Amino acid sequence: MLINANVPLKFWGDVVLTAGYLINRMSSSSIQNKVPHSILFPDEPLFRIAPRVFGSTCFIHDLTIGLDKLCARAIKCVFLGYSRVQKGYQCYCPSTHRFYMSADVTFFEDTPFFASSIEFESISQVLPIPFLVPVIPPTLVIDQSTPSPSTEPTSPPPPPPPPLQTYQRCPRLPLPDPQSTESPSDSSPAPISSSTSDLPTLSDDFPVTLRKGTCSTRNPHPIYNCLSHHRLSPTHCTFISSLSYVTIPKSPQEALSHPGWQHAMIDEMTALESNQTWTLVPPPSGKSIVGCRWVTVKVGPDGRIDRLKARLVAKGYTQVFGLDYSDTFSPVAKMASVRLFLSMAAMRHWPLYQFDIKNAFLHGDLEEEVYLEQPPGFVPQGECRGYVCRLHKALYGLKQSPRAWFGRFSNVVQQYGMIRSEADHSVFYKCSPNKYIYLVVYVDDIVIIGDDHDGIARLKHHLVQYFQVKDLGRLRYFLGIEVAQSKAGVSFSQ
Amino acid sequence: MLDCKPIDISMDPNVKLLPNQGETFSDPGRYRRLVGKLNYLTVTRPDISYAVSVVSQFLNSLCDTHWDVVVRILRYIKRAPRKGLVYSNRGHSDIVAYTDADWAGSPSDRRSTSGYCVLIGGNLVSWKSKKQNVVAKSSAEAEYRAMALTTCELIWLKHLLQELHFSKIGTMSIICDNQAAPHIAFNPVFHERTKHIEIDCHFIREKIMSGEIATSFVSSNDQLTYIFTKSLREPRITYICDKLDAYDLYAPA
Repeated sequence: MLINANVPLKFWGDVVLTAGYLINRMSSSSIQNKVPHSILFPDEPLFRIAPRVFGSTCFIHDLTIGLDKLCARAIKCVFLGYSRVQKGYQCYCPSTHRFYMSADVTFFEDTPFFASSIEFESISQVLPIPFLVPVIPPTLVIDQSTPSPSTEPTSPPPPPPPPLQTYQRCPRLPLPDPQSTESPSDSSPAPISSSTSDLPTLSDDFPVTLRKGTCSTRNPHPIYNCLSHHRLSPTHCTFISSLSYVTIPKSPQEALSHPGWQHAMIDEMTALESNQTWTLVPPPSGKSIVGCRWVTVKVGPDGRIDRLKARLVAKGYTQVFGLDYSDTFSPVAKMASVRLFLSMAAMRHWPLYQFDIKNAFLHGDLEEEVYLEQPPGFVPQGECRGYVCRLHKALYGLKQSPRAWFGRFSNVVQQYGMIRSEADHSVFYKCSPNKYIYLVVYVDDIVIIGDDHDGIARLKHHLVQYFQVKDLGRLRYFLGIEVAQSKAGVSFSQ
Repeated sequence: MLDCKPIDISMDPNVKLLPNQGETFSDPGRYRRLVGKLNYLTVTRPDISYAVSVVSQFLNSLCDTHWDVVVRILRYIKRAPRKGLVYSNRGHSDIVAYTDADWAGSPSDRRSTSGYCVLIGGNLVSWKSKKQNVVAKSSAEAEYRAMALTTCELIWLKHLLQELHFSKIGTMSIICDNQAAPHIAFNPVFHERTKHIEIDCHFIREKIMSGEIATSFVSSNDQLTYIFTKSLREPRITYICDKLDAYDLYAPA
């Protein structure tokens, strides 16, 4: 069976199971030509599901939720046997490394999945194929049993392949692949097999959704992009399609081949280097090394692409508490204090200013020793090959980043002479007689009120020395809240 | 949801929600995401905070009926989608807190709901609607717990304002509509019905004796905190929202 269908050797287990399954359903001479299965289970039907040619190509109906109308609906698989517990066929898809259990399968029994045509034909001519008559309906054929030498040479030639049959019964149960060594969540792109290219992959040319957050480069399956599209309403989807033709790259290699993304990634790398985020060191022993990957973001409010942005993030989820990091708490402003600020501004007719710190987390100083893998796609040549990055500044994704950022910001602001409030740690103030500056910080959004205009200008100048500050002028949007100020007072809503 | 009809009551006062009441809802993730968004919306909308706090109690055991309540909140929001708060200068910076409790309001475990709102200089700065974590045996006790919660918030705000040297802070007043609660606060009489809330009593009494806070009584008609403790009907909602300066900023004048 293994040779006949040209199935790789690693599937020998499935061959044995299928052979046993078929032998148990054939008459045996040792028990008066009865069928072992019907002796053991007299009540059960012999075949819960029609037997098929082992190793043949089949297509499984894809029942993934949220598939688009135009997406590929079938998965090309190799048929590897029968389920013991369910009424279904067990199939394996090499491109996704998954086993599928389904009764909703379309077979091409005359085309083996692992084709090598010459060998296949010659073998099928040489091997006598046992043909079982009494218990099987005449249209169904088993030509895949163990090639036993006792079969009669007068057995008829295999009949023409049965007509294409599709069953729609039970939903498919994807099983984890025991043979695939790497977990599918690994960031390395899965090998793209020939079967994927056979399917109508829409994703490559498909404009990508404009999701608010980030799109991971992690899941390489083409269906994934269609999935994210599905979340949008149809009208919105067409709107987006007409707007954007930039795909989100699936791997750093792919991103580097696209000039826009390449530019974005090089920008990010230069920013990191100018920030002295890391130094290259030989890999230390006994220290865990954090992985990293690229996250590609398309920036822009209300669905329009302003610029492409790539961001290097550390895989902070691999860090272990106590070993790689200790404290992570970082205060954010209480909403009541933000509202208090607004009411104070209204009562005294003070102006409200807003600042935004670009790449805020990259400014945080790390207390712990953190080692990072070299970013994928940017591997230095020469003697630094194989080195790791010793981080000096925080990176997005690290567990301790928010804390490092807040500590650093708090230090810089206190250098200017502001005092941190004890009641709300994200509130800073500076009071001299009749001159007030108040500052509240919510991660990287800063609101400043006060009547000391020179002081505020100096404070801004002070901040610019340390961070990339974006002056947003008068406060208009803060954390999704729209604020409007007039002489009559301050109003805000969402 | 786009073509739903706006309604003017965020929550039907007659509907009492219980966990696991009715058919199980098919998509709990959707419910939880939506409630999370509504929760953030309460940052600028005090009028839905009671309804949101009620639907937040069923994130684990939700049913169709709870989903219907959430949809009702959305329809209520649709009536005035840009409702927000307006702050203005009223010439003073007094701190006034209204407090109220809905005694045994939860039908499943008979716990009470405390609600408060703090106005600084007439501007609504802080509010809360929260189910108490113990059962109160009398309405005075429930009110008392709410008062203690309000006092904590007031003290925090006072500390913050003192640090900021913003203005001179006089006596902060707590206004409640229960006669018994201020009486217990003033008079050091403990009888067996109030023994178990002694800590709250001492806490508030200490603050009253030191002159930090003062309690006063208000009739139920002027009690602004009702919006945080019960589901109200229409004229009351508008009345309280006007008092709290919560307006639809984009409403045609």
